[in-house]
Amino acid sequence: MSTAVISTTNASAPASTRSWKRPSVPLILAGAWLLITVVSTLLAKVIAPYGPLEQDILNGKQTPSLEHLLGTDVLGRDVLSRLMFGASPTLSSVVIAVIVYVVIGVVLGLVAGYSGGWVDRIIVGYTSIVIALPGIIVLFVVLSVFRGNTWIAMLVFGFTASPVMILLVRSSAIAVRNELFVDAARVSGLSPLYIVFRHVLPRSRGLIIVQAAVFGATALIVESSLSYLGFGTQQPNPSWGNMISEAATVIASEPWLLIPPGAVIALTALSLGVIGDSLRDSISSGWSTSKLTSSGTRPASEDKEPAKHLLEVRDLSVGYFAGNGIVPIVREVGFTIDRGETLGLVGESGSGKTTVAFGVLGVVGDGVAVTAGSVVFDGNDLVGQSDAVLAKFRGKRIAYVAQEPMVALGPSHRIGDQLAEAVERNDGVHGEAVKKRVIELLTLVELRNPELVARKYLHELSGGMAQRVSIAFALAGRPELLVADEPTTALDVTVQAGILGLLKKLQDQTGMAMLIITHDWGVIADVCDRVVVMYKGEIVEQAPAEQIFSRPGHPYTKALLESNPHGAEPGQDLPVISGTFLTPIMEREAAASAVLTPEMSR
Amino acid sequence: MRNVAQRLLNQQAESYTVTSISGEPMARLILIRIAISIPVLFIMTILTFLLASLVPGDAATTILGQDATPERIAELNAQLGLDRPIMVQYWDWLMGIFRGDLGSSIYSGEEVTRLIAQRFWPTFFLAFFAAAISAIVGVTFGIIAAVKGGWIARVLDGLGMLGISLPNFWIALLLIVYFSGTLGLFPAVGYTAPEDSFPDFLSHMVLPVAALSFAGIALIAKQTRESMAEAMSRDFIRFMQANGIPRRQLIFKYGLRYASIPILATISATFITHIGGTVTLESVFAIPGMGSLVARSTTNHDLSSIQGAVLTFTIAILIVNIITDVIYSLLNPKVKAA
Repeated sequence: MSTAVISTTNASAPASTRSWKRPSVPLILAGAWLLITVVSTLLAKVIAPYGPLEQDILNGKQTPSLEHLLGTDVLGRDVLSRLMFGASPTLSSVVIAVIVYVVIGVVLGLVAGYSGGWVDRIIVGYTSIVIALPGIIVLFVVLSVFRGNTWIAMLVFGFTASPVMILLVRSSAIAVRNELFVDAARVSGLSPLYIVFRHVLPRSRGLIIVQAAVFGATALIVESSLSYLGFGTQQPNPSWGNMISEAATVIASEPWLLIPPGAVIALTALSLGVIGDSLRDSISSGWSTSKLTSSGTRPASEDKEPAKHLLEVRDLSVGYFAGNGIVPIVREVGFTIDRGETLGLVGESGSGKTTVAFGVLGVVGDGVAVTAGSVVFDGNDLVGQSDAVLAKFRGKRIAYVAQEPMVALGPSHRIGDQLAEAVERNDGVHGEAVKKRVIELLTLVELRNPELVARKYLHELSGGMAQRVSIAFALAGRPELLVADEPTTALDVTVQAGILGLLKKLQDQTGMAMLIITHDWGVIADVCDRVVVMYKGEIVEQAPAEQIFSRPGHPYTKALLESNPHGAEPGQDLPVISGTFLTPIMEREAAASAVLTPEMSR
Repeated sequence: MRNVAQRLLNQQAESYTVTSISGEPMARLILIRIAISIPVLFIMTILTFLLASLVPGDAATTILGQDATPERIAELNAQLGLDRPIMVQYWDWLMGIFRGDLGSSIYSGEEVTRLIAQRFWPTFFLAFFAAAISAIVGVTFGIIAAVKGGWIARVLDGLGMLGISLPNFWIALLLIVYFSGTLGLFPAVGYTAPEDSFPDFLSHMVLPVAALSFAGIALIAKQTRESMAEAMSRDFIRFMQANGIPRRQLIFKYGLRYASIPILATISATFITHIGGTVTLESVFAIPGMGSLVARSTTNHDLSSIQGAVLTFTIAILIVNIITDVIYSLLNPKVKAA
């Protein structure tokens, strides 16, 4: 009866960045239920239609009626009234447990997180011991000594559960402590207590409330269990739990009596849970989107178009779903690549070049879709095809090398095992030959000691080694086209040249075509035959590589070339691109409305 | 809730092991666990003794009733050895463990070790089956919700929320009303040992296991969904899909493996929660196990039985934690197996 409240990745989501959203329907219902419960508990004496012990034996075991909204029990007592009176022992126990839980958790968590060092170590050691205590069993030990005193029991329960809160508050406090403004406050001589209350605590507030709400639900269920077992409020006085145990004695004849007290407990716990969950969603940094692309449903086209080029991208548009509409990322992009050719796709970050690569590969991810156009590979349009069709191309004829090699492969499997899978799937090799081919691939990408690398995990490799491994992975199926998205950007300058040289050498050996995405003119100059320049999701220019450098056609290309840091004078500011440029679609739209503003194109 | 903390602690342990230059990290992890376990055992047992000493004469009053004369109570206390200093009593009890002697129940006079030996297995079966069902069903639901998304995910989210909000004893009573009352499918209460009649054993287990699994399924499904969603948002999924690794492999081999550590922590936490949950459920279903022993001894202030039960439960939980640590270090390549 406990729940995971937050994933550790958003443990430190700053509360201040959340924006206020209209509360959802479940949240409103949950809030309303809690309000009704609390008010009717506090005002039970005034608003309850009957006294909790008022008996009317002649009218016992009644089903709900206007007179008795929830019916009457065996002794003819009004169930609704008993629920109202029975709430206070239950809820007060919950409040006690929550207060203990929050106070211990927040105080120790802040102290540990803010002080760090040996204080932190002691507190973390303490939590790891308390967390190993069997909480429920401790409760019963306490109850066996303090006869039927559920308040003390719930106090102890709050204590045994508090490590969760301590650790959460601690990690949140550590995150805040490492921020600059807290450093500044410390340097300027503000007292630690002031900093904690003024800066650290407010940032952890959302987290604390969420955790308290969820613990409240757990405490409610535990308290009900205790009173069900007869350790809480004693009959004839009502509590939610003992009303269930009373109903259980007549379970065969009067099953209805089980429903009201159980439903009230469930609704209250549910409300606390809903409130916790909604708050958590509003403070967490957002739902992670799946990188797994769903398969299309378009049947494979029988009539193969005659292929002039290896790859023909025609009027490709990609957008992401937002609300009811689609926001375009890439618009009407078209280019071709011939066998053995290297095409460079260049542009600033945010220009949509990576999205084009994903579109070509058919891996745009969740929530993103190709909205128009086609990607024709060797005469086959790949857009919207099913997994079964794409399986003939992915990895076998078109392969992919990513920008970040340290996250490109699975972290939990050995390099050799992952490569073996790629070899088996894409190269049709089985049995003993697989291992040989894996070593061959690792040798091909010039890794020294390939046997050793095959036994390693990703985290044991350097960035350069990992990029060589992912190139080996991509080459497993002897592809005809390799799409490389900024293959050197994430690497040390010293290994960049090595990777680029390797790609060039592999191309010479295999005759594969390459689509290289980059923002680095050096890469273009080194390896590319032709260049496509992208800006704001559109292609503004394409030309042979030499021509781009000597005679750039579009003003944006010129600006992008001028901003190349490699050509910068030492001691001068680095050139930057400023202003806006016209894209083809903008020009077309402007021409259509015939109000072209000349200053916009500088 | 425990699993969140467990995960935070695991990260802590991981950061120690990763930074450690030499030695065998997996062995280290288990040593850390044992280093924590020893004080836990002492704390739990000392706690019961200290609490008991706060109310002197309690046991004798329980046996003799409220009307007993003070002389009679003192006499019985001396007879039971309860008039000695508390630390002496504790020491005796501690030494008794090594002789397999945990004293006798002041309520029934039975030897506590015998009581535990009789009552251990029903509770073990109940908690173990419930954990296994929770794990299988919960992980399956969680994967479906994570992969399918849409309304299936929302329905499962709703059910998950409900699962942790319904008191297990109430679910148990509703199950009894319907499945044993209305349908007459399963016996309402009672227990049969598997060696006596295996079919009877199973039919007696169905309802308690179902009631106990309810919250566990919800918790594990929720954690699986979150961890799988997290795993599927990793870049390697896109890299591998683009390079021809099929969806099935990405979900069940790479995704599930990536998500397995937090899921494991939740399964382990669920098992531990189930051990506590047996106290109420064994009372509902009249199962003669450790849980109902705890409930009965608490009512009767039968401290020697409670002490024995506490020792057993604490050791059981420590064993679950150690097994979890071992699986954890096998799953996490950053912790090298020795």
